[in-house]
Amino acid sequence: MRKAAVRNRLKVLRAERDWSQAELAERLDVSRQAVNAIETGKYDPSLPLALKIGRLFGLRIEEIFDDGHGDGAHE
Amino acid sequence: MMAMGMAPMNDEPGVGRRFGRIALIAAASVVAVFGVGVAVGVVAAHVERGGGMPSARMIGLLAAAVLLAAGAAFLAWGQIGAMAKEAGAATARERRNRNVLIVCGALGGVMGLMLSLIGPTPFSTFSNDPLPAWLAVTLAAVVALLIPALSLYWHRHVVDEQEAAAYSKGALLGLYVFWIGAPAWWLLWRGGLAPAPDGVLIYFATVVVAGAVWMWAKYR
Repeated sequence: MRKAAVRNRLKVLRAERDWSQAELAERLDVSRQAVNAIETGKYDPSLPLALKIGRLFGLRIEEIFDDGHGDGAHE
Repeated sequence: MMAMGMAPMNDEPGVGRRFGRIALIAAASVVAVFGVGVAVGVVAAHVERGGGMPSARMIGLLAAAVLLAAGAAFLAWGQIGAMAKEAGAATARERRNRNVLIVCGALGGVMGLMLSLIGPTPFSTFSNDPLPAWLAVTLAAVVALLIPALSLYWHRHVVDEQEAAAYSKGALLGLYVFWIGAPAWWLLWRGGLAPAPDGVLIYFATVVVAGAVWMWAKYR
């Protein structure tokens, strides 16, 4: 069965802080490819990384990631 | 929705261009090793025949081989430089990754050169020809001891979870190539429909598929 796509606001949140992908990658201790893959929806982060992203932006996971089943579906 | 142009978005260079560069580097490296092998083979054959004044044909062949190797090495180096320029400032994890890849590439290059220079024929890098025992033991020790140590370091300190996932995907598909390809070939051979299974070819097929899928999953 094909996995449902999880959308996220990472690119928007990064842009609001004027960070490059490299800067965000450095803060998350991952590669730029990982940031790019998450932003473009090609890779869903693990729970520990999602929690780390949430802490970095001061948001709950559901405020960043959306699987289309929650009440905070991103536009 | 966010306004456009708030920050640099995708800093990563285009996937197609990056794949093109990686493919060029790999192909040029093989050609460079091949060129060196041919040059050494030509000289070795000349010495075996008793030396003396080299013929114009031999000088031409030697010059062509050296030019081929130098050109390929220059091309590979240029592509590596271009990739580094496009990538911009790397994160600490990426720098560690790059260092490990450089060490692996250097190891592979040295091993390829040794096979080319010391093997029984100049084209024997990927052949099944016999090797001197000392060379076989040295290269096997590198493969069996040094590469696992590097791999362990890479898995523990270098890769992030996205690359680990990409690597797992490549490893799984590579394993399927082996699981399916090897017995299928063996059965066809037993049925008299194919030549005897070649372990080196099966190995390369596994590595090429695993590597291609890994790169695709990492950079797509």
